[in-house]
Amino acid sequence: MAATVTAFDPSADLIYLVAELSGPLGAQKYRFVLDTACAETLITPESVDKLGYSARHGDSITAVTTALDREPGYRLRVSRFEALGYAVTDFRVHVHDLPEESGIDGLIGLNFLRAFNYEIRSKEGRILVSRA
Amino acid sequence: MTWAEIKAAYPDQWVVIGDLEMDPETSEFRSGVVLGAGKTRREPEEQAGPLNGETRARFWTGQMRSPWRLP
Repeated sequence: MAATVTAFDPSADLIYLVAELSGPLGAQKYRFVLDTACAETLITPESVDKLGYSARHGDSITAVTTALDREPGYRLRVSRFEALGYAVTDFRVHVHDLPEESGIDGLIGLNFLRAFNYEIRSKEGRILVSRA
Repeated sequence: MTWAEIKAAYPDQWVVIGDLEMDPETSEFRSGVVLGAGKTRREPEEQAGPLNGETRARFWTGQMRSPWRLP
């Protein structure tokens, strides 16, 4: 099966990608970081609020422990999540705040990536993805 | 406006963009219409108003950095 190819800036400190989320009110694209050290995909509260979700749509309370603190959040299923040329439906995300100055709205974690085979070509700035 | 034009007009801000044109190969933003801009994620969203079924984008025009930086 042919792989999709997504380009990224190989000179950047992280792998920044555009992903699209859909909800009851529509769809919006946000900047994410590809993070293979993140078990579950994370997104900011402002991003899901815009799509018509809120904490009351969540199915459990969660917390992320950082170097500085333990921050509360919640787990939510969004109707559609698209990244790296593939879309998944009824997709579970963790809703947690991220610093405004980071300039990103989420982290693409392994709960998305494990549905695929992927190859990160860091020097070339390309990610090859195919269905597992 | 192109991404370069948006970055120049709204430096270090969150912008909500409509009428999107994306690059089909890289999935990166090419051009669109700025519907709101501000220093927080919520400011441009309030200016842009409800989605009403359309697809928009919200991006930061400044330098992006890891959210997990150590102090």
